[in-house]
Amino acid sequence: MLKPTKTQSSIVIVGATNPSIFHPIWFSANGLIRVGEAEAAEITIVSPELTLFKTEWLAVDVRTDRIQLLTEQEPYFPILRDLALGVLTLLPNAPASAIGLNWHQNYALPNQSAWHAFGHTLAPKDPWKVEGIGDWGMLKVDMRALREGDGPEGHIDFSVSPDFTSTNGVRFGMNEHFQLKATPGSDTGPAIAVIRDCWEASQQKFSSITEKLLSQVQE
Amino acid sequence: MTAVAPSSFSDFVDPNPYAKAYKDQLRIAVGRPRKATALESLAIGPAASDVEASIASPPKQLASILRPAERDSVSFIAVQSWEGVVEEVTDGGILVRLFDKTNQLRPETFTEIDASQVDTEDADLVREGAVFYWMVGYEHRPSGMRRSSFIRFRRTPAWSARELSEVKARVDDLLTKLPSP
Repeated sequence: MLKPTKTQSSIVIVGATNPSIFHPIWFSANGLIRVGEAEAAEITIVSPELTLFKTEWLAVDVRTDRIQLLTEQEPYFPILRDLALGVLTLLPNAPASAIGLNWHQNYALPNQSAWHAFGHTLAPKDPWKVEGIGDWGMLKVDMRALREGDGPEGHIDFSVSPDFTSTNGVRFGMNEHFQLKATPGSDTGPAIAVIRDCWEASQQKFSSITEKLLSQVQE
Repeated sequence: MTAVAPSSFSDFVDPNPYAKAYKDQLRIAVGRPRKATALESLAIGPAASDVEASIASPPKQLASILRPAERDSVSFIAVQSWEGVVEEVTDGGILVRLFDKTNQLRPETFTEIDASQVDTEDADLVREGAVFYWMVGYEHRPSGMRRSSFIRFRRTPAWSARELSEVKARVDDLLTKLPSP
């Protein structure tokens, strides 16, 4: 069974916010990250318009209309979730209008033949053949499905594309979008509920879809 | 692309995904170029055209100050992972209950962790009922790959006295609304 060569998880909270709050020291002072991590953070900028900083495992990107927390290390995926919950708990009067749970994995397919065959499975070339135009190759396939089951309305966007940074590389990405009803005076309760109750299921969906697609790789 | 996807999917492969963000901020920071004033035109020293040119082209040192330092790329691929709960803290160890996240069909197990395996920064979090994550896998660094494991405790924000009293008030309110037995 193929193992991913790269992984990434991010949580995006859409809503008005003040990026200057989100200094690494704010995170550690509120017990959200370790003190040592905050002190060692690489700060690009902390300002009323934009905050960017990184720690060994976390990348924080805050703008006036969204907060993005990201990690590329799988062990920290649940810790990222806890961090998002912690941030929302500390900012109860900053309601979110949407939540995005995002997942990415890169894989190296066994050989070039399998790589081409996989692309051909997802994007057959026959419907595209036109005389005078050379061979087509798949650049990206994007699919969308509406969310079902528990939780707010939303959709799932899934993409597959070649990863040209590695040999026979393929990249899978999923965005699960939750649309919330933010009204004046509402709090972060609905956003907290989404991350608390739907995060693990979202990760499972990504795994299931990726496994289903990879099962069609010819070795 | 939906509003809540990462800033750009290409960020995933861009070795410096914040390049656009900090360049945008650089433009905000240095302001727009302005025309040289009449006084500057008459000043002894650099020609007005030189003054204009230096204003229009901010020194490149500012860009390097804002550029994030390159960090070694580290990735960890988990082979086995557990979510655990502290059952009891003893003098030498921590009794824990583990749930296998890699194979959720496996029943929970009980074991003891040596306190020395917990990072000093998480020591204050070790108490009965505390949740932690235990991962075993391979760490990929530019220098090579090595087997690795870590334990990390769940962090929740400290509740302020005001928040606690608000919660208590809500609970009291709910209790008054419950029908008496």
